[in-house]
Amino acid sequence: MNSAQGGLEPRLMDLVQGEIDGANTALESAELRDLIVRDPQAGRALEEFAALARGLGGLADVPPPAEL
Amino acid sequence: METDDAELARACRDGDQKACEALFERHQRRIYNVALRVARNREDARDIAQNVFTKVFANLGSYDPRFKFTAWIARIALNESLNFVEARRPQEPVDERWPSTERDPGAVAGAGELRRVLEAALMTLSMDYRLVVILRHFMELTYTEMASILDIPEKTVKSRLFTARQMLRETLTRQGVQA
Repeated sequence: MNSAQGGLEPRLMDLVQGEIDGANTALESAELRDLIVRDPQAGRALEEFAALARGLGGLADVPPPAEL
Repeated sequence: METDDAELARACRDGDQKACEALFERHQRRIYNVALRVARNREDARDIAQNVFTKVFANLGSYDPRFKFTAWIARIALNESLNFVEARRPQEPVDERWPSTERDPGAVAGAGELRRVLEAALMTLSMDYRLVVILRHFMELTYTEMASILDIPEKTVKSRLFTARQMLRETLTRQGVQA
């Protein structure tokens, strides 16, 4: 699943990012699930980026000042 | 059932004070957080957020309820934030007080290691990359909505977002923090 550059294959990256952004079609989600079944690294990539996305979303909770 | 934004916006425009307050309450935290990550200063973020809501309430008549209210207010917030930073630039250097737990103890109260590292990493991204992260993860906008607000092609939005996440992921890995 690794590319020559040591990163994830572009297609897997597209599918993972699309999945966490809710942008994948049903077909693309199925393709990703299939990749995950065949390669555990794909599943780890999805978990990692999903966790990153949750972490980023959590940063938006700094309370505004009362005088706003 | 919670009243949707479009309904609140219509009621607010028609003079319903409670609807205006509900809109403000619903969106103030996200708008403040957007401004904070663009301006990197809490006082400026407060001023920006105040300006945003002044404009929102003054311009509700131009809001088209066929589109998501969040996308409409995000556009205003982004423009206001960027204009504020641009206007500040000649007079003073960019204030980097945010994030700083040293000078602002409790600013990120309860923050764990992941949060601290992720916050710092986000602020190291150049503005182009930071903006897509903010719009996606703080405002929960779609690629199409982000492309419209930033006036760039959708594929550029995706590319920037993917690259930004890769950079953040690498920073976390370098610092031994797991997302």
